Amino acid sequence: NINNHSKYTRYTELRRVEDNDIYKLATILDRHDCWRKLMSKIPKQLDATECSAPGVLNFKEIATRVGYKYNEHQINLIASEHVDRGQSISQIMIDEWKTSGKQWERPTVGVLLQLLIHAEIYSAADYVANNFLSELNPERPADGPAAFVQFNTELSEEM
Amino acid sequence: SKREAENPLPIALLPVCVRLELCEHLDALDVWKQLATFVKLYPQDVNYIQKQLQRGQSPANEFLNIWGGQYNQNMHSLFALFHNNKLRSAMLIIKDYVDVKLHKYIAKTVD
Repeated sequence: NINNHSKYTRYTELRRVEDNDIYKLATILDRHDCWRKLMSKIPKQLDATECSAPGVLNFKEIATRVGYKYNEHQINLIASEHVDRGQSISQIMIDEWKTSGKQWERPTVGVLLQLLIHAEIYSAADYVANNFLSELNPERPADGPAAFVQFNTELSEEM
Repeated sequence: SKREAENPLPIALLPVCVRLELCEHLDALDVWKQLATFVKLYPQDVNYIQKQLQRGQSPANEFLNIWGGQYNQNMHSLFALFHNNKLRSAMLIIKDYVDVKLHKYIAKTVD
């Protein structure tokens, strides 16, 4: 098992993750308002333990039936928080999320990773997979901005 | 090297001086929109780059910030992107930061 030496598991609650690891994640999410993209994808209800395994979060069901935890107003409230120099807006967002809800709703590393992949924040998804879980980078979609570009060989053969 | 072939350098780790030269070149050609369209960047990201451009920022640099940042793309992908868009000089600027095996694509690219 390659996870034998990982620092956390997919079932580790975010509030049990070391502050320094959350801090590093937050600096990644601060760029281009990625935290906002993540926050807008957080589902309303969540049985965190049940949803922590890879690929378990059902995003179609969340979009159509379950709904989202934070609305535009709540996201803008976080965005308008006064941050001092060196403080991170993503850190404030994660602090709110990780302590919110009932005990069984507390977000885990596994839930976080699935949400990051769904929001296509691969900078943070790769970081969580490598540094929190000692896993390889998550697979990329075949299409869209997150897909790796392949060499168009037809272009070469024109020569 | 073998390690690089399996594990290409992230765009975010490209040395600043090379990145500056690359962005100056791409901005002179005014190709950021073409590149953004090619990788299917979402409208919100394209609008963000447009806004930064109006503020006097380099659009190519903003493109690299987003595509190399949030999407954590690597130099191999960027090299292929330039090849597919026939940006031969851009490939030459970054050639030392991709695997030597990929250099054959430079010869096959016409600007």
